[in-house]
Amino acid sequence: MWNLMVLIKANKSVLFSSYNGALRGAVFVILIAISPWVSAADSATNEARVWLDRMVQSFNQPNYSLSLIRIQQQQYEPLMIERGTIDQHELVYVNYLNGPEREVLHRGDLVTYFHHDVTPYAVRGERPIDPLPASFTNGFDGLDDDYRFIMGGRSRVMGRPAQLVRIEPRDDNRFSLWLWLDAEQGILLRADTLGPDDQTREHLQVMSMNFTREPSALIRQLASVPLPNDIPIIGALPHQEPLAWKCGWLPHGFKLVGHDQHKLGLTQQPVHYQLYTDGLVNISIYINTHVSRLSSQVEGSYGATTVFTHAADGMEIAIIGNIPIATAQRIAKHIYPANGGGEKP
Amino acid sequence: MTDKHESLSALMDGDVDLKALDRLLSSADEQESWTNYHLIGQAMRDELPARIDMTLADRISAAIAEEPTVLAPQAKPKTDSARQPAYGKVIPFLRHAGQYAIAATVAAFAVVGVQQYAVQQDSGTGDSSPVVQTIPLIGGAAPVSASLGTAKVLRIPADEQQSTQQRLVEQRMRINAYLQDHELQMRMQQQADQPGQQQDDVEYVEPDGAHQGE
Repeated sequence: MWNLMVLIKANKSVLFSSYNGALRGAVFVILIAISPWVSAADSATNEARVWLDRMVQSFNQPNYSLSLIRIQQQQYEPLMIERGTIDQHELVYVNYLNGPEREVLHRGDLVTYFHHDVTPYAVRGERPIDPLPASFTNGFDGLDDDYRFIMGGRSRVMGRPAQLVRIEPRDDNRFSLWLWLDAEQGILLRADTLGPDDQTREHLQVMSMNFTREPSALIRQLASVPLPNDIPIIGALPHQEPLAWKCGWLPHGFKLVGHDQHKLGLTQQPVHYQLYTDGLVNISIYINTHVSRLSSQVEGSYGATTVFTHAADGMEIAIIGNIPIATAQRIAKHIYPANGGGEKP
Repeated sequence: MTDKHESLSALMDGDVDLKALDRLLSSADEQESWTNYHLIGQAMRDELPARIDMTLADRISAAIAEEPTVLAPQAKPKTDSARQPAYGKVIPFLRHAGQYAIAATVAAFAVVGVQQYAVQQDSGTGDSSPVVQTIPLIGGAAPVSASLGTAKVLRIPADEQQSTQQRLVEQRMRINAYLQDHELQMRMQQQADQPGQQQDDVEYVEPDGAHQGE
Protein backbone atom coordinates (compact mmCIF):
# COMPACT_ATOMS: atom_id res chain seq x y z
CA MET A 1 0.00 0.00 0.00
CA TRP A 2 2.37 2.66 1.11
CA ASN A 3 5.43 3.25 -0.90
CA LEU A 4 7.83 6.13 -0.61
CA MET A 5 8.71 5.92 -4.25
CA VAL A 6 5.11 6.53 -5.19
CA LEU A 7 4.94 9.54 -2.97
CA ILE A 8 7.87 11.26 -4.51
CA LYS A 9 7.02 10.16 -8.03
CA ALA A 10 10.69 9.91 -8.67
CA ASN A 11 11.50 7.66 -11.52
CA LYS A 12 14.75 7.04 -9.87
CA SER A 13 16.64 3.89 -10.50
CA VAL A 14 18.99 2.72 -7.91
CA LEU A 15 22.42 4.17 -8.16
CA PHE A 16 24.26 1.10 -9.23
CA SER A 17 27.43 2.13 -10.78
CA SER A 18 30.39 0.12 -11.68
CA TYR A 19 32.73 0.60 -8.83
CA ASN A 20 35.65 -0.96 -10.51
CA GLY A 21 37.87 2.09 -10.78
CA ALA A 22 35.36 4.15 -12.74
CA LEU A 23 34.55 6.95 -10.36
CA ARG A 24 33.06 9.50 -12.72
CA GLY A 25 31.41 12.25 -10.80
CA ALA A 26 32.21 10.72 -7.44
CA VAL A 27 34.51 12.51 -5.10
CA PHE A 28 36.31 10.66 -2.40
CA VAL A 29 36.85 12.55 0.77
CA ILE A 30 40.23 12.25 2.33
CA LEU A 31 40.40 9.69 5.04
CA ILE A 32 42.61 9.82 8.05
CA ALA A 33 46.27 9.06 7.89
CA ILE A 34 47.82 6.32 9.92
CA SER A 35 49.30 7.58 13.14
CA PRO A 36 53.10 7.36 13.22
CA TRP A 37 53.48 6.57 16.83
CA VAL A 38 52.52 3.14 17.94
CA SER A 39 54.40 1.06 20.43
CA ALA A 40 55.78 -2.13 19.05
CA ALA A 41 53.55 -4.28 21.19
CA ASP A 42 50.35 -2.55 20.17
CA SER A 43 51.19 -1.79 16.63
CA ALA A 44 49.21 -4.60 15.08
CA THR A 45 46.09 -3.89 17.13
CA ASN A 46 46.39 -0.17 16.64
CA GLU A 47 46.83 -0.58 12.94
CA ALA A 48 43.69 -2.72 12.71
CA ARG A 49 41.85 -0.17 14.76
CA VAL A 50 43.01 2.60 12.47
CA TRP A 51 41.65 0.74 9.47
CA LEU A 52 38.34 0.27 11.26
CA ASP A 53 38.20 3.94 12.20
CA ARG A 54 38.76 4.80 8.60
CA MET A 55 35.84 2.61 7.60
CA VAL A 56 33.67 4.29 10.23
CA GLN A 57 34.66 7.64 8.78
CA SER A 58 33.55 6.51 5.35
CA PHE A 59 30.13 5.58 6.69
CA ASN A 60 29.88 9.03 8.21
CA GLN A 61 30.57 10.92 5.03
CA PRO A 62 27.76 13.36 4.39
CA ASN A 63 26.58 12.12 1.02
CA TYR A 64 26.88 8.66 -0.35
CA SER A 65 24.99 5.92 -2.01
CA LEU A 66 25.76 2.33 -1.24
CA SER A 67 24.44 -0.87 -2.72
CA LEU A 68 25.03 -4.21 -1.13
CA ILE A 69 23.79 -7.75 -0.90
CA ARG A 70 23.20 -9.58 2.32
CA ILE A 71 23.32 -13.35 2.16
CA GLN A 72 21.88 -15.46 4.94
CA GLN A 73 21.59 -19.15 4.34
CA GLN A 74 20.14 -19.34 0.87
CA GLN A 75 18.49 -15.96 1.03
CA TYR A 76 19.91 -13.16 -1.04
CA GLU A 77 18.85 -9.71 -0.01
CA PRO A 78 20.06 -6.86 -2.18
CA LEU A 79 19.51 -3.40 -0.80
CA MET A 80 20.58 0.16 -1.28
CA ILE A 81 21.40 2.77 1.30
CA GLU A 82 21.46 6.40 0.41
CA ARG A 83 22.66 9.03 2.77
CA GLY A 84 22.53 12.77 2.35
CA THR A 85 23.07 15.85 4.42
CA ILE A 86 21.06 18.99 3.80
CA ASP A 87 21.65 22.02 6.01
CA GLN A 88 23.38 19.75 8.45
CA HIS A 89 20.35 17.50 8.71
CA GLU A 90 21.04 13.94 7.92
CA LEU A 91 18.77 11.69 5.95
CA VAL A 92 19.19 8.06 5.26
CA TYR A 93 17.04 6.04 2.90
CA VAL A 94 17.17 2.27 2.79
CA ASN A 95 15.44 0.27 0.12
CA TYR A 96 15.27 -3.51 -0.01
CA LEU A 97 15.27 -4.35 -3.64
CA ASN A 98 13.79 -7.84 -3.85
CA GLY A 99 10.31 -8.89 -3.02
CA PRO A 100 7.51 -6.74 -1.66
CA GLU A 101 8.58 -3.21 -0.97
CA ARG A 102 10.40 -2.44 2.23
CA GLU A 103 11.81 1.02 2.76
CA VAL A 104 13.16 2.87 5.73
CA LEU A 105 13.61 6.58 6.04
CA HIS A 106 15.77 8.14 8.76
CA ARG A 107 14.84 11.79 8.83
CA GLY A 108 15.21 14.20 11.69
CA ASP A 109 14.26 12.58 14.91
CA LEU A 110 12.22 9.83 13.35
CA VAL A 111 12.81 6.58 11.58
CA THR A 112 9.86 5.49 9.47
CA TYR A 113 9.26 2.02 8.14
CA PHE A 114 7.33 1.43 4.99
CA HIS A 115 6.45 -2.14 4.26
CA HIS A 116 4.24 -3.47 1.56
CA ASP A 117 0.84 -4.32 3.00
CA VAL A 118 1.58 -2.93 6.44
CA THR A 119 0.62 0.45 7.80
CA PRO A 120 3.78 2.51 8.02
CA TYR A 121 5.05 3.29 11.47
CA ALA A 122 7.80 5.35 13.00
CA VAL A 123 10.05 5.35 16.02
CA ARG A 124 11.86 8.22 17.64
CA GLY A 125 15.53 8.56 18.12
CA GLU A 126 18.62 7.33 16.40
CA ARG A 127 18.77 3.87 15.05
CA PRO A 128 21.55 1.99 13.38
CA ILE A 129 21.19 1.67 9.65
CA ASP A 130 20.13 -1.90 9.31
CA PRO A 131 21.75 -4.25 8.25
CA LEU A 132 24.97 -2.52 9.20
CA PRO A 133 25.94 -3.01 12.85
CA ALA A 134 25.73 0.13 14.95
CA SER A 135 29.51 0.16 15.36
CA PHE A 136 30.04 0.76 11.68
CA THR A 137 28.70 4.26 12.12
CA ASN A 138 29.22 4.83 15.83
CA GLY A 139 32.74 3.53 16.05
CA PHE A 140 34.47 0.72 17.85
CA ASP A 141 35.33 2.43 21.13
CA GLY A 142 34.24 0.44 24.07
CA LEU A 143 34.52 -2.88 22.28
CA ASP A 144 38.14 -3.45 23.29
CA ASP A 145 37.17 -5.36 26.39
CA ASP A 146 35.30 -7.96 24.45
CA TYR A 147 36.89 -8.01 21.01
CA ARG A 148 40.34 -7.98 19.51
CA PHE A 149 41.13 -6.23 16.25
CA ILE A 150 43.63 -8.09 14.11
CA MET A 151 45.22 -7.31 10.78
CA GLY A 152 44.82 -10.04 8.22
CA GLY A 153 46.28 -10.40 4.78
CA ARG A 154 45.61 -8.80 1.45
CA SER A 155 43.43 -10.16 -1.27
CA ARG A 156 41.31 -9.00 -4.14
CA VAL A 157 37.66 -8.19 -3.51
CA MET A 158 35.28 -6.55 -5.98
CA GLY A 159 38.20 -6.01 -8.32
CA ARG A 160 40.09 -3.98 -5.72
CA PRO A 161 43.08 -4.72 -3.49
CA ALA A 162 41.61 -5.36 -0.08
CA GLN A 163 42.93 -5.49 3.46
CA LEU A 164 41.39 -8.02 5.80
CA VAL A 165 40.67 -6.82 9.33
CA ARG A 166 39.38 -9.39 11.78
CA ILE A 167 37.22 -8.60 14.75
CA GLU A 168 37.64 -11.56 17.04
CA PRO A 169 35.81 -12.05 20.32
CA ARG A 170 37.92 -12.53 23.41
CA ASP A 171 35.70 -15.33 24.62
CA ASP A 172 33.66 -18.08 22.99
CA ASN A 173 30.42 -16.27 23.43
CA ARG A 174 30.36 -14.27 20.27
CA PHE A 175 30.87 -14.55 16.56
CA SER A 176 33.79 -13.16 14.61
CA LEU A 177 33.43 -10.44 12.04
CA TRP A 178 35.86 -10.38 9.15
CA LEU A 179 35.98 -7.19 7.16
CA TRP A 180 37.66 -6.64 3.84
CA LEU A 181 38.45 -2.98 3.37
CA ASP A 182 39.55 -1.25 0.23
CA ALA A 183 43.33 -0.96 0.46
CA GLU A 184 43.37 2.56 -0.94
CA GLN A 185 40.17 4.13 0.27
CA GLY A 186 39.41 2.12 3.36
CA ILE A 187 35.76 1.57 2.60
CA LEU A 188 34.01 -1.70 3.30
CA LEU A 189 33.99 -4.20 0.49
CA ARG A 190 32.84 -7.33 2.25
CA ALA A 191 31.85 -8.43 5.76
CA ASP A 192 31.52 -12.01 6.93
CA THR A 193 30.09 -13.20 10.22
CA LEU A 194 31.78 -16.42 11.28
CA GLY A 195 30.73 -18.90 13.91
CA PRO A 196 33.11 -20.53 16.40
CA ASP A 197 33.62 -23.31 13.88
CA ASP A 198 34.83 -20.69 11.37
CA GLN A 199 31.83 -21.33 9.19
CA THR A 200 30.45 -18.25 7.48
CA ARG A 201 26.97 -17.59 8.83
CA GLU A 202 26.23 -14.36 7.08
CA HIS A 203 27.83 -12.44 4.29
CA LEU A 204 27.54 -8.78 3.34
CA GLN A 205 28.89 -7.92 -0.09
CA VAL A 206 29.20 -4.28 -1.07
CA MET A 207 28.51 -3.83 -4.76
CA SER A 208 29.12 -0.14 -5.08
CA MET A 209 29.70 2.92 -2.97
CA ASN A 210 29.61 6.40 -4.42
CA PHE A 211 30.47 9.54 -2.53
CA THR A 212 29.36 12.94 -3.74
CA ARG A 213 29.77 16.50 -2.60
CA GLU A 214 26.12 17.25 -2.85
CA PRO A 215 23.13 15.20 -1.79
CA SER A 216 21.42 13.36 -4.57
CA ALA A 217 18.13 14.35 -6.13
CA LEU A 218 16.45 11.48 -4.35
CA ILE A 219 17.64 12.71 -0.98
CA ARG A 220 16.56 16.22 -1.78
CA GLN A 221 13.09 15.00 -2.57
CA LEU A 222 12.96 12.84 0.53
CA ALA A 223 14.02 15.77 2.65
CA SER A 224 10.97 17.75 1.77
CA VAL A 225 8.30 15.27 0.83
CA PRO A 226 5.41 15.68 3.22
CA LEU A 227 4.68 12.29 4.71
CA PRO A 228 1.17 11.31 5.70
CA ASN A 229 0.37 12.68 9.10
CA ASP A 230 -1.37 9.66 10.42
CA ILE A 231 1.71 7.52 10.71
CA PRO A 232 1.82 6.31 14.30
CA ILE A 233 4.97 6.91 16.27
CA ILE A 234 5.60 3.96 18.48
CA GLY A 235 7.04 5.09 21.76
CA ALA A 236 7.67 3.81 25.21
CA LEU A 237 5.57 4.68 28.21
CA PRO A 238 7.33 7.12 30.51
CA HIS A 239 7.35 4.80 33.50
CA GLN A 240 8.98 1.47 33.09
CA GLU A 241 7.88 -1.44 35.14
CA PRO A 242 10.70 -3.17 36.92
CA LEU A 243 11.97 -6.35 35.36
CA ALA A 244 9.94 -9.42 36.17
CA TRP A 245 12.73 -11.76 35.13
CA LYS A 246 16.46 -11.42 35.49
CA CYS A 247 19.50 -12.85 33.84
CA GLY A 248 21.89 -14.61 36.11
CA TRP A 249 24.47 -14.77 33.40
CA LEU A 250 25.29 -12.89 30.25
CA PRO A 251 28.53 -12.62 28.32
CA HIS A 252 30.65 -9.73 29.46
CA GLY A 253 29.76 -6.34 28.06
CA PHE A 254 26.09 -6.88 27.33
CA LYS A 255 23.83 -4.16 28.62
CA LEU A 256 20.07 -3.92 28.85
CA VAL A 257 18.65 -1.73 26.11
CA GLY A 258 14.96 -2.13 26.79
CA HIS A 259 12.28 -4.39 28.12
CA ASP A 260 8.54 -4.65 28.16
CA GLN A 261 5.63 -7.01 27.87
CA HIS A 262 4.01 -7.28 24.50
CA LYS A 263 2.32 -9.73 22.21
CA LEU A 264 4.14 -11.57 19.50
CA GLY A 265 2.72 -10.40 16.21
CA LEU A 266 2.48 -13.82 14.66
CA THR A 267 0.97 -15.82 17.46
CA GLN A 268 -0.54 -13.11 19.67
CA GLN A 269 1.02 -14.64 22.76
CA PRO A 270 1.98 -12.15 25.46
CA VAL A 271 5.63 -12.36 26.38
CA HIS A 272 8.04 -10.72 28.78
CA TYR A 273 10.79 -9.29 26.69
CA GLN A 274 14.32 -7.98 27.20
CA LEU A 275 16.88 -6.73 24.70
CA TYR A 276 20.62 -6.63 25.37
CA THR A 277 23.51 -5.38 23.30
CA ASP A 278 27.29 -5.24 23.46
CA GLY A 279 27.46 -2.63 20.73
CA LEU A 280 27.91 -5.08 17.92
CA VAL A 281 25.44 -7.83 18.69
CA ASN A 282 21.87 -7.85 20.02
CA ILE A 283 20.27 -10.56 22.15
CA SER A 284 16.52 -10.85 22.66
CA ILE A 285 15.13 -12.80 25.57
CA TYR A 286 11.52 -13.93 25.63
CA ILE A 287 9.62 -15.48 28.51
CA ASN A 288 6.43 -17.04 27.21
CA THR A 289 3.98 -18.43 29.72
CA HIS A 290 1.27 -19.10 27.19
CA VAL A 291 2.56 -22.22 25.54
CA SER A 292 0.18 -25.12 25.90
CA ARG A 293 2.37 -27.79 24.45
CA LEU A 294 5.98 -27.31 25.36
CA SER A 295 8.96 -28.90 23.73
CA SER A 296 11.91 -29.32 25.97
CA GLN A 297 14.44 -27.68 23.73
CA VAL A 298 14.65 -26.36 20.22
CA GLU A 299 17.67 -24.95 18.45
CA GLY A 300 17.79 -23.39 15.06
CA SER A 301 19.39 -20.68 13.06
CA TYR A 302 18.64 -18.23 10.33
CA GLY A 303 21.85 -16.97 8.82
CA ALA A 304 23.86 -15.62 11.70
CA THR A 305 20.87 -15.48 14.02
CA THR A 306 20.58 -18.29 16.54
CA VAL A 307 17.24 -19.31 17.95
CA PHE A 308 17.11 -21.32 21.12
CA THR A 309 14.03 -22.21 23.13
CA HIS A 310 13.99 -23.99 26.41
CA ALA A 311 11.10 -25.17 28.53
CA ALA A 312 11.25 -24.77 32.29
CA ASP A 313 8.56 -24.61 34.94
CA GLY A 314 5.72 -24.60 32.47
CA MET A 315 6.99 -21.72 30.43
CA GLU A 316 9.17 -21.25 27.40
CA ILE A 317 12.34 -19.18 27.39
CA ALA A 318 13.55 -18.10 23.96
CA ILE A 319 16.94 -16.57 23.22
CA ILE A 320 17.44 -14.96 19.82
CA GLY A 321 20.61 -13.30 18.62
CA ASN A 322 23.81 -13.53 16.64
CA ILE A 323 25.55 -15.65 19.24
CA PRO A 324 26.73 -19.24 19.36
CA ILE A 325 24.18 -21.81 20.41
CA ALA A 326 26.16 -22.72 23.53
CA THR A 327 25.96 -19.13 24.70
CA ALA A 328 22.21 -19.03 24.13
CA GLN A 329 21.82 -22.26 26.06
CA ARG A 330 23.80 -20.90 28.93
CA ILE A 331 21.82 -17.68 29.12
CA ALA A 332 18.55 -19.60 29.09
CA LYS A 333 19.63 -21.75 32.01
CA HIS A 334 20.31 -18.71 34.17
CA ILE A 335 17.04 -16.85 33.91
CA TYR A 336 15.12 -16.49 37.13
CA PRO A 337 12.17 -14.53 38.46
CA ALA A 338 13.07 -11.16 39.87
CA ASN A 339 10.95 -11.26 42.96
CA GLY A 340 12.38 -14.27 44.62
CA GLY A 341 9.64 -16.52 43.36
CA GLY A 342 12.19 -19.12 42.44
CA GLU A 343 15.65 -20.14 43.28
CA LYS A 344 18.42 -18.25 41.64
CA PRO A 345 20.57 -20.88 40.02
CA MET B 1 2.93 9.29 -37.70
CA THR B 2 5.53 11.92 -38.26
CA ASP B 3 3.71 14.68 -36.53
CA LYS B 4 3.16 12.42 -33.54
CA HIS B 5 6.91 12.06 -33.28
CA GLU B 6 7.36 15.72 -33.78
CA SER B 7 4.99 16.63 -31.05
CA LEU B 8 6.64 14.12 -28.73
CA SER B 9 9.98 15.72 -29.42
CA ALA B 10 8.48 19.09 -28.81
CA LEU B 11 7.12 17.87 -25.52
CA MET B 12 10.51 16.54 -24.56
CA ASP B 13 12.00 19.90 -25.28
CA GLY B 14 9.55 21.46 -22.94
CA ASP B 15 7.05 22.86 -25.38
CA VAL B 16 3.89 22.11 -23.60
CA ASP B 17 0.99 21.35 -25.82
CA LEU B 18 -1.92 20.23 -23.72
CA LYS B 19 -3.47 18.19 -26.42
CA ALA B 20 -0.25 16.35 -27.09
CA LEU B 21 0.15 15.84 -23.38
CA ASP B 22 -3.30 14.34 -23.12
CA ARG B 23 -2.60 12.06 -25.97
CA LEU B 24 0.63 10.95 -24.40
CA LEU B 25 -0.98 10.24 -21.08
CA SER B 26 -3.66 8.10 -22.58
CA SER B 27 -1.71 6.12 -25.11
CA ALA B 28 0.49 3.21 -24.16
CA ASP B 29 2.25 3.36 -27.51
CA GLU B 30 3.11 6.98 -27.09
CA GLN B 31 4.36 6.35 -23.62
CA GLU B 32 6.63 3.66 -24.85
CA SER B 33 7.99 6.01 -27.47
CA TRP B 34 8.45 8.62 -24.78
CA THR B 35 10.52 6.23 -22.72
CA ASN B 36 12.57 5.20 -25.69
CA TYR B 37 13.27 8.75 -26.76
CA HIS B 38 14.50 9.57 -23.32
CA LEU B 39 16.67 6.53 -23.19
CA ILE B 40 18.16 7.41 -26.54
CA GLY B 41 18.85 10.91 -25.37
CA GLN B 42 20.48 9.66 -22.23
CA ALA B 43 22.55 7.17 -24.15
CA MET B 44 23.78 9.89 -26.44
CA ARG B 45 24.75 12.03 -23.53
CA ASP B 46 26.31 9.05 -21.80
CA GLU B 47 23.96 9.39 -18.89
CA LEU B 48 22.60 5.91 -18.85
CA PRO B 49 22.54 4.29 -15.45
CA ALA B 50 24.38 0.99 -15.34
CA ARG B 51 21.11 -0.73 -14.91
CA ILE B 52 17.95 0.32 -16.57
CA ASP B 53 14.76 -0.73 -14.99
CA MET B 54 12.22 -0.73 -17.73
CA THR B 55 9.42 -1.63 -15.45
CA LEU B 56 9.84 0.89 -12.70
CA ALA B 57 7.56 3.41 -14.33
CA ASP B 58 4.96 0.76 -14.94
CA ARG B 59 5.10 -0.36 -11.41
CA ILE B 60 4.79 3.13 -10.18
CA SER B 61 1.80 3.70 -12.45
CA ALA B 62 0.16 0.56 -11.20
CA ALA B 63 0.76 1.57 -7.64
CA ILE B 64 -0.57 5.03 -8.29
CA ALA B 65 -3.67 3.57 -9.89
CA GLU B 66 -4.31 1.54 -6.77
CA GLU B 67 -3.89 4.42 -4.37
CA PRO B 68 -5.16 7.53 -6.00
CA THR B 69 -5.32 9.42 -2.76
CA VAL B 70 -1.60 9.14 -2.35
CA LEU B 71 -0.81 11.20 -5.41
CA ALA B 72 -0.31 14.90 -5.48
CA PRO B 73 0.34 15.91 -1.94
CA GLN B 74 -0.78 19.50 -1.84
CA ALA B 75 2.06 21.83 -2.37
CA LYS B 76 2.85 22.81 1.17
CA PRO B 77 5.00 25.73 2.09
CA LYS B 78 8.45 24.37 2.49
CA THR B 79 8.90 24.27 6.19
CA ASP B 80 11.70 22.87 8.19
CA SER B 81 10.63 19.46 7.09
CA ALA B 82 14.13 18.20 7.14
CA ARG B 83 13.99 18.62 10.88
CA GLN B 84 10.36 18.13 11.71
CA PRO B 85 8.50 15.56 9.69
CA ALA B 86 4.83 16.15 10.16
CA TYR B 87 3.65 13.06 11.93
CA GLY B 88 0.70 12.56 14.12
CA LYS B 89 0.05 11.01 17.40
CA VAL B 90 2.45 9.09 19.51
CA ILE B 91 1.21 5.64 20.37
CA PRO B 92 2.81 4.32 23.49
CA PHE B 93 3.62 0.69 23.87
CA LEU B 94 0.41 -0.73 25.19
CA ARG B 95 1.37 -2.59 28.27
CA HIS B 96 -1.59 -4.61 29.26
CA ALA B 97 -3.11 -5.13 25.93
CA GLY B 98 0.51 -5.72 25.05
CA GLN B 99 0.02 -5.22 21.39
CA TYR B 100 2.16 -3.00 19.28
CA ALA B 101 -0.02 -0.80 17.16
CA ILE B 102 1.40 -2.27 14.02
CA ALA B 103 1.69 -5.66 12.48
CA ALA B 104 5.05 -7.15 13.16
CA THR B 105 5.71 -8.22 9.63
CA VAL B 106 9.17 -8.08 8.33
CA ALA B 107 10.69 -10.28 5.69
CA ALA B 108 9.18 -13.72 5.68
CA PHE B 109 11.65 -15.89 7.43
CA ALA B 110 12.46 -19.22 6.01
CA VAL B 111 14.14 -20.77 8.97
CA VAL B 112 15.44 -24.05 7.81
CA GLY B 113 16.44 -26.93 9.89
CA VAL B 114 15.52 -26.88 13.52
CA GLN B 115 16.72 -29.64 15.79
CA GLN B 116 14.22 -30.58 18.34
CA TYR B 117 15.02 -32.57 21.37
CA ALA B 118 12.03 -34.32 22.80
CA VAL B 119 12.21 -36.85 25.55
CA GLN B 120 9.79 -39.59 24.69
CA GLN B 121 8.65 -41.07 27.94
CA ASP B 122 6.18 -43.63 26.72
CA SER B 123 7.30 -44.59 23.32
CA GLY B 124 6.27 -48.07 22.30
CA THR B 125 9.75 -49.43 22.50
CA GLY B 126 10.24 -48.21 26.04
CA ASP B 127 13.17 -46.16 24.92
CA SER B 128 13.27 -42.87 26.73
CA SER B 129 16.45 -41.49 25.34
CA PRO B 130 16.19 -38.12 23.68
CA VAL B 131 15.34 -38.29 20.03
CA VAL B 132 16.29 -35.70 17.55
CA GLN B 133 14.14 -34.64 14.69
CA THR B 134 15.01 -31.99 12.21
CA ILE B 135 11.99 -30.13 11.03
CA PRO B 136 11.62 -27.48 8.41
CA LEU B 137 9.77 -24.40 9.51
CA ILE B 138 7.22 -22.27 7.78
CA GLY B 139 8.36 -21.21 4.39
CA GLY B 140 11.38 -23.41 4.56
CA ALA B 141 11.20 -25.80 1.70
CA ALA B 142 14.96 -25.66 1.50
CA PRO B 143 17.07 -28.52 2.74
CA VAL B 144 18.22 -28.77 6.29
CA SER B 145 21.12 -26.57 7.19
CA ALA B 146 24.26 -28.65 7.21
CA SER B 147 25.49 -27.09 10.41
CA LEU B 148 22.79 -28.74 12.44
CA GLY B 149 24.00 -32.23 11.92
CA THR B 150 22.12 -35.37 11.06
CA ALA B 151 18.73 -36.36 12.32
CA LYS B 152 17.92 -39.58 14.02
CA VAL B 153 14.74 -41.35 13.22
CA LEU B 154 11.91 -40.35 15.43
CA ARG B 155 9.93 -43.23 16.79
CA ILE B 156 6.52 -42.20 17.98
CA PRO B 157 3.64 -44.50 18.76
CA ALA B 158 0.73 -43.92 16.44
CA ASP B 159 -1.56 -42.47 19.08
CA GLU B 160 0.98 -39.82 19.99
CA GLN B 161 1.62 -38.81 16.46
CA GLN B 162 -1.15 -36.32 16.08
CA SER B 163 -0.44 -34.38 19.21
CA THR B 164 3.24 -34.40 18.40
CA GLN B 165 2.41 -33.10 14.98
CA GLN B 166 0.37 -30.31 16.43
CA ARG B 167 3.08 -29.47 18.86
CA LEU B 168 5.61 -29.26 16.07
CA VAL B 169 3.38 -27.01 14.04
CA GLU B 170 2.91 -24.69 16.97
CA GLN B 171 6.60 -24.80 17.66
CA ARG B 172 7.33 -23.72 14.12
CA MET B 173 4.96 -20.83 14.37
CA ARG B 174 6.49 -19.70 17.62
CA ILE B 175 10.02 -19.80 16.31
CA ASN B 176 9.02 -17.65 13.38
CA ALA B 177 7.15 -15.37 15.75
CA TYR B 178 10.26 -14.89 17.90
CA LEU B 179 12.45 -14.22 14.89
CA GLN B 180 10.08 -11.65 13.45
CA ASP B 181 9.63 -9.99 16.79
CA HIS B 182 13.38 -9.88 17.37
CA GLU B 183 13.80 -7.90 14.16
CA LEU B 184 11.02 -5.59 15.17
CA GLN B 185 12.29 -5.09 18.71
CA MET B 186 15.74 -4.12 17.53
CA ARG B 187 14.03 -1.14 15.96
CA MET B 188 11.62 -0.40 18.77
CA GLN B 189 13.72 -0.73 21.85
CA GLN B 190 15.99 2.22 21.99
CA GLN B 191 15.70 3.85 25.30
CA ALA B 192 19.16 5.23 25.67
CA ASP B 193 17.85 8.68 26.29
CA GLN B 194 15.27 7.63 28.81
CA PRO B 195 16.27 8.73 32.27
CA GLY B 196 16.72 5.97 34.73
CA GLN B 197 17.40 3.36 32.15
CA GLN B 198 18.26 0.65 34.56
CA GLN B 199 21.41 -1.14 33.84
CA ASP B 200 21.62 -2.03 37.48
CA ASP B 201 18.45 -4.02 37.26
CA VAL B 202 20.49 -6.67 35.59
CA GLU B 203 22.68 -8.57 37.91
CA TYR B 204 25.60 -9.34 35.77
CA VAL B 205 27.58 -12.28 36.99
CA GLU B 206 31.07 -12.93 35.74
CA PRO B 207 31.21 -16.13 33.74
CA ASP B 208 32.89 -19.07 35.33
CA GLY B 209 36.58 -18.82 34.76
CA ALA B 210 38.19 -15.46 34.56
CA HIS B 211 37.18 -13.36 31.66
CA GLN B 212 40.31 -12.80 29.68
CA GLY B 213 41.69 -9.41 29.10
CA GLU B 214 44.49 -8.98 26.67
